[in-house]
Amino acid sequence: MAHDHEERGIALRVKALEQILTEKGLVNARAIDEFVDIYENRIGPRNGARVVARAWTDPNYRKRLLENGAAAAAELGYSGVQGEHLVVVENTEERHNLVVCTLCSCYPWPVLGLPPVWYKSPPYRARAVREPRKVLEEFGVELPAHVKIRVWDSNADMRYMVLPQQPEGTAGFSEEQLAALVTRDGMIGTALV
Amino acid sequence: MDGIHDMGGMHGFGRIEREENEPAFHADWERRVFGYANLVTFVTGHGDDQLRREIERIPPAEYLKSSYYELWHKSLISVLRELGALSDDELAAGRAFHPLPATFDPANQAQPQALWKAVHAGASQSAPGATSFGHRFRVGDRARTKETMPYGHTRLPRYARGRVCTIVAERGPFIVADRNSEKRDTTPDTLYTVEFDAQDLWATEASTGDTVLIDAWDCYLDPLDEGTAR
Repeated sequence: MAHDHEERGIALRVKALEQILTEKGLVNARAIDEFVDIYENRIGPRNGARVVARAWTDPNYRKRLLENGAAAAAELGYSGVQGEHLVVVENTEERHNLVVCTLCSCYPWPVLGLPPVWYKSPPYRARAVREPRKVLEEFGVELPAHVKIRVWDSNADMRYMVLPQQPEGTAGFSEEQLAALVTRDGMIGTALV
Repeated sequence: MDGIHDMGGMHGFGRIEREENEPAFHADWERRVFGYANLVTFVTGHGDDQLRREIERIPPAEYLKSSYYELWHKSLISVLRELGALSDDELAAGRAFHPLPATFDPANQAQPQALWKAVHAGASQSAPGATSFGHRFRVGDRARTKETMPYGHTRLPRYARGRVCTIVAERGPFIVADRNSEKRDTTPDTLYTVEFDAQDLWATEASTGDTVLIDAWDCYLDPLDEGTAR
């Protein structure tokens, strides 16, 4: 009940602020609808999955992606807000990458969409930099000791995405088949693909 | 500032709670906040550096019990007040009573048909044309992050202050969040990506060979020969 009450309170305060901002000419409802629709329905982790699948099937694209993530993602039409300076980091047999934003919620929107709540939550932000192996275990990932972890705290203008290792037994798969295997968490680094 | 938002390394938050098939938004009011918080900037011209500063000033207990988009909503109100674009009587009534500041042009208001293009164009804080900025380090150099404790906004997390690091990439000149947030000073500085040995941050709790990386402006760093070795 307390939660319902708080929800009604914030919903009313939000409605009131939108009304004020609209009367002032700062926003309009149709633009808000469109902006929300873009991020709710049109930009999400399927974008990143296509980038990954292209990198797995095209060595030249992979090279460009690791050299300049933003430019390579833009080749597929994924660019802009919260991805202006996208950096793609590659998992290997010796190295696993994990992305976090300890200070807020920085996340590469053009390729992954909006972050899940857990990514923005205090436990993940507090623990990913300090005990990444325990965090990964909670996600069901157990890395051998010889695999070293790089934790990328996206604290400034760079936005990071992980290029997972291509799963064994998928040689000869089409780009579409490969993209279907790639998960959001695989591109954050909290899952293997 | 040394606020609750700076969580890297804190203990006591427990397990990471995940939701299967999580929706992008959990309530319609979250959609509205996400929309207006992003779109008012077309007219107001403020940015993430100002919003983050105001999120960080929310008292810790309130910060922790507020949901994500509540924090956005509250910080937007603070920034709009500061800009002279919102006042208490308006918030109390849910109606606009006062004109916008003269420097705002409502003709810049975001329109739906322009958004797909605007979203894909983005809004970089890089300063490629800058000619004067700090650039003391090269890839491979070692440095020490400053032992700073600023009251204002900074992007240097507490866990990474006063620690030895290695420069692993140069990202070019970027507006420095600290001074842009506090003073609207857009003088750029070279941004680097720097890498810490996890054991230099967390002692033996960390596994040998694991590392943590952050982005650090030139002004966040000192050459290693300044100050005492850790």
